[in-house]
Amino acid sequence: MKDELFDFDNQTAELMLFIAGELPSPKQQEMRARLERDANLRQKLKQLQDLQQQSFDAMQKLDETEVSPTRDRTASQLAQKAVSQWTVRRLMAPPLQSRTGRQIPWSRYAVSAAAAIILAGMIWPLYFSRQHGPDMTPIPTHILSYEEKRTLLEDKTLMLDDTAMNDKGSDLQFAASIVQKDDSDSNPQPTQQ
Amino acid sequence: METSRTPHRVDPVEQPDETLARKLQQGDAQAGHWLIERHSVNLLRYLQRLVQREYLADELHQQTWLSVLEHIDRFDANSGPGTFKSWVYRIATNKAHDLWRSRGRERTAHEGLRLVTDQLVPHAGNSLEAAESVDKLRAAIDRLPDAQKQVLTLRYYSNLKFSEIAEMVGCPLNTALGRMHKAMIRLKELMSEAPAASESREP
Repeated sequence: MKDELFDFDNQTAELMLFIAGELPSPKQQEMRARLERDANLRQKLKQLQDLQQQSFDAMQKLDETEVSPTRDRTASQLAQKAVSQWTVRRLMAPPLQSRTGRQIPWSRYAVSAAAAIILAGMIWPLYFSRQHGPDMTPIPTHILSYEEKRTLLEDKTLMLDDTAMNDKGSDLQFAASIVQKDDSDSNPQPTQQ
Repeated sequence: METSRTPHRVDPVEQPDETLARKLQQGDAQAGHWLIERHSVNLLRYLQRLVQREYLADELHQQTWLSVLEHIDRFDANSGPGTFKSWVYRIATNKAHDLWRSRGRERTAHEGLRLVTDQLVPHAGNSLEAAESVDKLRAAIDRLPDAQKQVLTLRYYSNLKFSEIAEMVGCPLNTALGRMHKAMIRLKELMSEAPAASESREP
């Protein structure tokens, strides 16, 4: 019988659950019926009960010898002090509480969505007119061909001032000088003799 | 059978843990005090059996309750009876596991030292015989494998169902029952071996 006690099998597991009162009720009744029929099973149940009682008695004996009411009280008081401090902190920090609750009213979602739609309605026409309106891209004055530069100069659409001449205008100045040179070459002024 | 277990202090408030936990979530400090009053002593003993040191058990006990407060908003108070106790003991067990991991070597060294000193210095008590008996008992429990000791102490101190213990420990129900069974048999063996071992050490 000792070997049976030492072996852990499904029957032992069921008996342990039966002792603990944790078997489902149909199995509990079935176990009772089996125990009434089977003397060996009854003996094994008794051994398991004794074994558990010995273990719990040992634990209880150890507790009784090691019990320190002062220590228990101190540990409990420390934990309770922590609760008090935690409660005060919690009461003094309402934003944290609402944040942890994460309860945002549904109306805020609706207002946010409406605002987003209005904003999109305002931005979209600007974007659309930019896509389909007049070409507003700046004239790439620094990479113009000779003919283009000449056209620009003739149409007087390009203003050359001192500021422009300092950077990008330098190229245009050079273009203007070429145009003037070309004009003078192609149309030589008659020399007065 | 359970009537012979560690006596629990009678709580002045006959309310389930989960109700008190819900009140604590709403900021009721008194509910927290009652929960501590209800579970503190057994939780402390459970931790002491796990870590085998009073000061470590005290530290873990404090950390456990702080962690409970920190995460109380996440606790589902409507999940059913017994869940709060299971939750608290799970936190405590995790704290003990963290400690084991972080102090693995130190623990081993202390364990070796303790075994040596236990052989040399008798425990102070009312009588030498009683002290020896308690020492044998303590040594027997301490020498249980951690997994077995965990299930045995959880069952004894928390009075949780085996299914809850299995879920907490993260193993099948049969495994938890097997560990409990082995722990009880091993404890019986160690306690019966202890006198022979102590006699053989004497000159």
